[in-house]
Amino acid sequence: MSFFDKFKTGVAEAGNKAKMVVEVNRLKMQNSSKQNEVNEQYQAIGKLVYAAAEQGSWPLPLEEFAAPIERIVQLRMEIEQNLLQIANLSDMKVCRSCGSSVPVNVRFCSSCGSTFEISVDPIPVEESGEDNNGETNAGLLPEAKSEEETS
Amino acid sequence: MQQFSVVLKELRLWFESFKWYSAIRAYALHLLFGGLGIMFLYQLLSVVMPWQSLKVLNTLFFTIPLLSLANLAFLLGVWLTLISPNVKYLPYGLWGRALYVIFPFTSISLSSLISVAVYAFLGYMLFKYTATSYAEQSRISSLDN
Repeated sequence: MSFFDKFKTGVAEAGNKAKMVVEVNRLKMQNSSKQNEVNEQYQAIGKLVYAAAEQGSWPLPLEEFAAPIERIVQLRMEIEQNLLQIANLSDMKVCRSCGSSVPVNVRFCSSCGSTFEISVDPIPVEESGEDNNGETNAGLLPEAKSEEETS
Repeated sequence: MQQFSVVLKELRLWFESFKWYSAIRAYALHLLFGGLGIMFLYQLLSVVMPWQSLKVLNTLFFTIPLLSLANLAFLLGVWLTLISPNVKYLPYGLWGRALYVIFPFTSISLSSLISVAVYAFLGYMLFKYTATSYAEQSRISSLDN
């Protein structure tokens, strides 16, 4: 491989890495903005509680909080999705036990030791072995007893 | 952010009325980072090279004049990238420019610090904008055109 080919490969690789870093940073910034909005919603709930306590109308019905709670749930889901996307982009996965990032191909968390494998209970097969369409259920029996989480 | 998105949309429409825009729109990032790279190269060579090579550097960067061309390319790249779908790369260009202004950290003055602050602030605001949904909508609409 000539020098220029190597150079071209190196530049292309650096470009891809840069793209990935830019995208990850953009998602992190998005998450930061979303987290700020979540905090604003918490503040709105707090104001409602304070006003109710001041007026002596506490406890308030749950419907009063429905809108901010709904928004918080939605924002949290979006944050979670962004975290998954970040993990996908950087070939990392997040440990559900301790929250640390580890390479995507490991089976155990290097920080807390918890496993990434989830056991799948075998689906009970009916006596007949056939469903209404005449297709066998045997294929549903898991051959691999464990499946690795992607996140 | 929504208003800024509308401004960018109008700016894009205005740029599209020029014939030369369609010819150079694909080179927005090349102009931006190429210009920045040449400016950095000049600074690096000025620091690294011995004083005997000053004449060569002067010929290259001031007589030709590569440095002014790089500066103009950078500015053109900024405007072109701002209205392109690749606006997410522009904050890094602006932060790079801020770094270039104070590089090699030997003669820091108030005027240079103000320039750095302005470029860094603009970069940060743009970075915040690129994380919003308006930027995504703007990106999709610019890809459609």
